[in-house]
Amino acid sequence: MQVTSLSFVIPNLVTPPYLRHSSKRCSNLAFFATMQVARAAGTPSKLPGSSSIHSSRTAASYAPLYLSSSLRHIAFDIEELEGIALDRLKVLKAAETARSNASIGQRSAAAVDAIRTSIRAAERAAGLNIPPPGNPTREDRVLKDEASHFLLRLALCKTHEHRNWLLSTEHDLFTARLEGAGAEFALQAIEKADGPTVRLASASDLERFRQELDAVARGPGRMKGDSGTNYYTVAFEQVPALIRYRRVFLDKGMAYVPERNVLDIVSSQFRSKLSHALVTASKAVGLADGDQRMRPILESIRQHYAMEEQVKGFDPAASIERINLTQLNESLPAMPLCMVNMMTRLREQHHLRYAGRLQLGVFLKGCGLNMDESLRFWRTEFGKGAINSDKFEKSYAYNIRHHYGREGKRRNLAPFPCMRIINDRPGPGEHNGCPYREFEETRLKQALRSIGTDPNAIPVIAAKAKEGNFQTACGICFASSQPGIHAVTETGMPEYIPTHPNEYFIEARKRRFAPNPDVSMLDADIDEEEMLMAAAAVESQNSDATPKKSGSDVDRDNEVVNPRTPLEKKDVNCGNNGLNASPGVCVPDTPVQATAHESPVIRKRNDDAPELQQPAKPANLQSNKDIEQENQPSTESGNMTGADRATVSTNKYSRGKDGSAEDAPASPKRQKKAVSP
Amino acid sequence: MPTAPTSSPALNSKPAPVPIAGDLSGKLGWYYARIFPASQFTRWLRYGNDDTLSRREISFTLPGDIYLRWKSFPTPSKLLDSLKSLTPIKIDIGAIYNFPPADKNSVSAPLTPMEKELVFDIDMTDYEDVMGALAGGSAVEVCDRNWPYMATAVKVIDAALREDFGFRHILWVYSGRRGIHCWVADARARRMTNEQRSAVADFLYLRFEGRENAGRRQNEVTVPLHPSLARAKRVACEKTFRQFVLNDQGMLDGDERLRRMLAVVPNAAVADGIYQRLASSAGLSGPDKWDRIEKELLRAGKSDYGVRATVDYIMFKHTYPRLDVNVSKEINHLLKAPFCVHPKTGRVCVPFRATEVDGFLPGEMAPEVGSLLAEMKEVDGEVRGSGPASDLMLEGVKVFEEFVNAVEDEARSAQRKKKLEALDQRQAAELLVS
Ligand code: SF4
Repeated sequence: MQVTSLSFVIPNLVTPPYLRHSSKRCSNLAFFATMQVARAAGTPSKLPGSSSIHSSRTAASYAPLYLSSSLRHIAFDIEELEGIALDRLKVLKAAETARSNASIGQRSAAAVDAIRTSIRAAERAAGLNIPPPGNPTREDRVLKDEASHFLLRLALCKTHEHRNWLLSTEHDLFTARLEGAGAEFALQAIEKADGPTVRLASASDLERFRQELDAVARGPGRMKGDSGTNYYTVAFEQVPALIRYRRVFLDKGMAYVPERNVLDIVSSQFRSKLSHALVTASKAVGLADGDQRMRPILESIRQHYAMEEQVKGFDPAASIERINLTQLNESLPAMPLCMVNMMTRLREQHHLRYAGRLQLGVFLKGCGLNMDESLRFWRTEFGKGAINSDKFEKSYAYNIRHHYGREGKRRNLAPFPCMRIINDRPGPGEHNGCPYREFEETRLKQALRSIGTDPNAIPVIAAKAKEGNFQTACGICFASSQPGIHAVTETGMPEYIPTHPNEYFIEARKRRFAPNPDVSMLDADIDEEEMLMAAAAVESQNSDATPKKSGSDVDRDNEVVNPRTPLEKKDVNCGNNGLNASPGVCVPDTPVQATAHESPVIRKRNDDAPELQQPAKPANLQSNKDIEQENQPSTESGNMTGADRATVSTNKYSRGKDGSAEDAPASPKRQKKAVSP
Repeated sequence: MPTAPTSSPALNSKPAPVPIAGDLSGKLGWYYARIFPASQFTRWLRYGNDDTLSRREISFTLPGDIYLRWKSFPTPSKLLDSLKSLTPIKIDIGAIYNFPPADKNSVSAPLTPMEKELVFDIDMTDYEDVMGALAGGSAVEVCDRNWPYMATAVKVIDAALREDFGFRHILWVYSGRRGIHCWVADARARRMTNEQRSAVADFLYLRFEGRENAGRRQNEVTVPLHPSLARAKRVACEKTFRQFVLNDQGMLDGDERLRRMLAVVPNAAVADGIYQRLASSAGLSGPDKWDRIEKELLRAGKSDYGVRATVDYIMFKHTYPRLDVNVSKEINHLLKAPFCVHPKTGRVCVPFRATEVDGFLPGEMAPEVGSLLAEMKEVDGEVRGSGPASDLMLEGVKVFEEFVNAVEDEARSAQRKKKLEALDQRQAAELLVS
């Protein structure tokens, strides 16, 4: 690599001639609009230790609006730049994942908190968190943060989709950073951003509108307005999110924002400023793209953006198993209960409400139906009822095309993962959602019988569902309704726990239709030594007193297992715990499952539960032990000794850790390219 | 796919009471030439200068469902010429773009909507599930009989736009058949982003179907009500509910309807209890029954928030404006222009005052194009209309003119202010330099 570096010059106030005609408010936001790319000869090429920066940030909170930059005259190494940009990309991806895991429309404080927590964790993992003032690394981190932000802004400003994505993920990052900042900070930031006028509401106004303010504050889902709270007035345009949910009182165009919501004004400022800046950047990006040193960085960011884009959802294209419309019927038994349920309803009633259409529609898309096939499918099914093809075209075809990104925002909708389906609860007359959550017991049992679940397993499934372990229930159903041999973990639960209905579908189809399910290539290379070591570790662990873990933790531990790792002993016997339709040797077929699409599953887990990334072996073992004690009344788990089980789990864990998402075959490119500073 | 609002085809299939289809083009030629208030119409769309008009998307629907989108007109006279020569059966008004939409294929920059009035579309079709005795019959009959729904909507939305949002330039227009349109033309409204539009639309919108679970409902119809909803209840909904819904529509007459109304009570035992007690008292009038229901719900609601909130929920379900929010949410959504002639009914889409909405029965108040033409006479060498239909038309034009004048005033003072500011800045700069 050529030893070059870049020098940015970003005057904050000077508007370059070629931008003069554009909107004035954007002029000082135009990063790189004023960029001068200079030959690096003689310029310092290292980021750390650049003492020329005078950070004026003294507030404890760091949540910059990126209106200006301290990046003038700082030179970066090209690879370093690429590295930090990709780091930020990771953080934003994590923000996106966190948001898509929280169900749509769910605005509970818990959901918001969960998003924030995962963003902050990702920030730390990527080294983008900003230490408090006084910390010697703070200035460098701030630089890194700014550089990465501006680079992404430049790289992802060209298309509508890129801009939208960056806007919403950066917005999430910003709000996560804002958390805990006070109204003071908010007001300062607003002023700095040349934002809207925010005024403290006068006592006389408060008195005049006491009843109204009280009514707004007292609704459920809102915090009890303590009578002492301050209110700020701001033009209603500035707080669309508060307006939308009637969270504020409005008088003649002014919104009365309670003190705790003042931060929302800042974040909506952030959004609108960035939105403008992205448009400005899109006009200036040609300049940067034309530069032979910038171009590769920007291209690399775009590539990484697109690459992970596929990974984030379940990627049907990566799978060999795609069906077409004619195979739909024969594939019905391979569908998970949620989809079977909707298919049955659709065929009975010749109609499905919107949420159901969406959920089933994107699932079928994931199964391989192309848009024409999908349209034909829905038209036919609806046509059997009261909806003729004319009406269908008018009222429904749009939706279906929308699933394929041909309408509306033109965003190709990814099939929904279980978490989203589980959280998307159906209303009356709707059939979306996860049956393990929605059906009451008798109905669930009936449904399970109707898809041919092993009758012995049905009570176990119902019990799991009742406990709230919907996916585990679904996994047991998989193990006791799909053919073939099913691996179980040391807890007696099936190895395979679905996290995505399309993944369930493909696993099931493999079992049903793959010519020769290759399940025998295990344990030939089990490392004796490793097993012994692990067993020893367990021994010592067992002698310690261990606190109990809750049931849900246990389940999570189970799910984090890396399915690629062939670990089970061949002679593990499933016994009669009702999990195995075909009796006999219970051998994991995990090697077969080791297709590319599983890496996102693993990744997602990691994102969800960052603590599991820590080499917390002891905790893991403890929980397994607890499961033995708690969850195994039918503990005929064959001739597996305690040590054996522990071995398995230890092994699995350590492999899982080593073979984490980074090594997954799906992203070798990423691994090579991502340059961490 | 055009985003222009169209009425649903199923309803269009009924025979029109005024068969003007045959010579519609001919009539429209006359209408646009002699009756259509061209000068006020273009004054409105100019907002003080031709540039604004020239960047406005205007689309025409021609007979035979030919839809011409992305037209724009540099001057008022070009627009009028086009109206006369093409005689569109429908004119839709879209956004003001960054350059004339008609040039969109010759300009390389992307066509971006900059401004548009905030618009609302309310149609009686969306009330069908809560209509009782007065449903059925031809579309226009249904319209007059059920006008109280529209009147309630106008009062509620108009008050909210003025009092909550501080808007002042609001034009209400009859849609020609069984609905109404609303144009908010304040500069502040015109400049709203999609996000702001959809926030306002959602603020004014209540959701009654689909995910009708208690949780969602409680977030909208709360106890106490949000001040905006409390006002809606006060200015119109409650009265409409008692007089029109319960009395005229008879929405509590008969066990079936009673049961249906109680079906939304989240606590089945409470609902059953009320049903049992009321089913026997057949002699009571609708409003009297409601009084009892309300009392019982409030009593049962002492310990159950959901039940308490149901009282207002039921009332709103039957009376609160049912906006077609999608029309309001996007800046580039088109909406039918005032003073179009509805091709099926022949009625002119005339504006009316929100304060007079109760008396605006479309069957009586919307002039019909055939009658308008029949009233045309030559007086002193000038062709003018006189007669009842012409008077109605004149009234509509008057309402429109008031609106246009106010809008022009606002535009003019804004321009003056801008000039002053520019002057100020120049002076300040000069001061600095010297
Ligand atoms: S766990 Fe997932 S796949 Fe199984 S039924 Fe529920 S949503 Fe469907």
